[in-house]
Amino acid sequence: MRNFCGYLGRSLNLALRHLGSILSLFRQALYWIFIAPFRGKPVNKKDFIGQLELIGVKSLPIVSFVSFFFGITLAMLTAYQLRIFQSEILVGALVGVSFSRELGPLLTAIVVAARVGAAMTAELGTMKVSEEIDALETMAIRPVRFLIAPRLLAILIMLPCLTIIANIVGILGGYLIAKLSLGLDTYYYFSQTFKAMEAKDLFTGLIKSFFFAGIIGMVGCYQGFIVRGGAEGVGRATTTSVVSSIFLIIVTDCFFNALFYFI
Amino acid sequence: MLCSILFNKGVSDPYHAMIIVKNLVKSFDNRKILDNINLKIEKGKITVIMGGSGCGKSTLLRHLIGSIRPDSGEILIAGEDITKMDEDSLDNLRKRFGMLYQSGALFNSMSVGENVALPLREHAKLDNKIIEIIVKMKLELVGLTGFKDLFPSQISGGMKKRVALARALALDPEVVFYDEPGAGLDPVTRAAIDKLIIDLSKKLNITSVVVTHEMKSAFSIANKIAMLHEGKIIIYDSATEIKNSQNEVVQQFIAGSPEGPLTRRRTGKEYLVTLTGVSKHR
Amino acid sequence: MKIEERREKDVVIVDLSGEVDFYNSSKVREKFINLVKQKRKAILINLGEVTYIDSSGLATLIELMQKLNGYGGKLKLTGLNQSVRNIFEVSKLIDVFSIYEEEEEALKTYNR
Repeated sequence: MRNFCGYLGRSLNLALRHLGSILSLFRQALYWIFIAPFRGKPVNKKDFIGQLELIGVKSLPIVSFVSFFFGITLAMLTAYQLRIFQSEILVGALVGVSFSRELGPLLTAIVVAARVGAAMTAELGTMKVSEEIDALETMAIRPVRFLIAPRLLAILIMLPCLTIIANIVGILGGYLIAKLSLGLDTYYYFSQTFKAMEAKDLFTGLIKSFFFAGIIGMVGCYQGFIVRGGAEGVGRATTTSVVSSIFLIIVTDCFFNALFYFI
Repeated sequence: MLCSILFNKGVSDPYHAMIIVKNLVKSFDNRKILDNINLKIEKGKITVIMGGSGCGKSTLLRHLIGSIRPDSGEILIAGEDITKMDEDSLDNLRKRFGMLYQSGALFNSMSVGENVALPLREHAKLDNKIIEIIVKMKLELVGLTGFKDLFPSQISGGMKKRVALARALALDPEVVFYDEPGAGLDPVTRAAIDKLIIDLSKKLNITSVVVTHEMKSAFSIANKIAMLHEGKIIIYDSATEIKNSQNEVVQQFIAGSPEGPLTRRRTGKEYLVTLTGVSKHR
Repeated sequence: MKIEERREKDVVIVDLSGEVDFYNSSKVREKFINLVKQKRKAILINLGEVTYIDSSGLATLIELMQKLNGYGGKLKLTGLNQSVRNIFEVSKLIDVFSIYEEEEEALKTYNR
């Protein structure tokens, strides 16, 4: 028992220290994104565009697939339960609200964390172990400006965009079931969907998605920056990066749901 | 004799000392890596820091470029103490440095030409055409004309190192730091790099600090050699003086001999303690 | 750093002085681009008062030479002191340019 408490205490201590370092890195990154460009030190444009492409364009297929199938699943799941009350007509409303409020942002964030967050850690970690980040420093080029700022900015822009697409595709997946299996009228389905959805639902989803983007970007970059111990270290850091960002995303999601629920 | 007096006078003159290290101490995990280092590196000269693996020479180099801050002591570069400098002033100083990493540390996502151009694009407001010409000049300097558009993954380790040298020289630095410049190079290329280091010092008055364990290059390029052993500088002198030194450690290192104070054999008793953990045989 | 221009018949002589480096080589370049626009065929750069020239300065001279060669002009240099000559030597540029010890000597070669 004492052993367990000791372990818990040490882990908590370590986690808090990591959190502190991430927040300080985040502050620096925000400075280089939002303040420094107006003082004549713009974000590394080439890297920024490359990251926009990697995060946005290249994640689009997988994000769409996942949301589409999840939309189908959700429609079937709700139709199964709503059948008891003979109110299958509400499927559209349920899918629409669940996606825009919850599933769209969450699914997109998890898929992007696994894809992009991991890639960021692997790339920056490799740069760290091959002394490239040290080399930047000795060339008087700040690594936070040169490497983290473009990545963070790109994901902050792209994740909400992907989330909107995920919402649309998820609702289409639900529609497919409603049309083929339940035989609902197209117009009726969508009018039900949009009647139930409020602008607030969409906005709360997008606000969450901003925070998720910050988590993925910062955890991904931070884990890359603290890599030690060669290629093996990079592998370990990549796993840690994905696991901890997904964990943080789910905790943050829960926090926001509680916040929106009680307010 | 007269020569040595003049020499020493030159060293104490602040205008001739580019870098002054005073009482530098650094420990990692309670192990003293650098133990009270004092060193004066002269302007326009080549200073070699030599020593076996793990003697702290790379750590010392990292202190000189401001990557690590010491536990105590001072490092004066061009009269300014870098150990107490903030990042902005340190960056301004770093623009006047060049650093060649052991592995080269090229950016793999950029072509050879882009690697060399990076410091120019970041720190000098120059037209692209001018940058392109400078890149070609620097690549010619290291004998890699025509490799501009290749990527680091497409060239050999020795070439990477030469590209890294071209990058280190891109901004015409006043001081260049080299971490094992000859490691991984064939003898001819190594000699060419050595000649370049000498040319830069003699003709352009560039201060060079070279960390290496290779005796041959060290003696051929050095104006002065500092030998590091267990975190201390045991000798700091010209190449000829080092060769004539009576210090046993120095002599063993120069001769590359397996027997001597650097590799002291343990007695049978000591070894037994290591093996069994028992201090006395009962 | 200072840039001054003189004429000796058809030859444009540019006198540079001081340190030519990353901070001011673009001014030298502006001057050169102007001369190229006027299609000047004979340009002599006098580096007599130059104490230091860095890679950007050298690159600016190379670019000028490229452009002159493009329309049959000739660039010549004169007055290099020892330290500037060393910089040219280390950069392997001593044979690339036509370098003359004395200005008059250089001027004569334009007439041929």
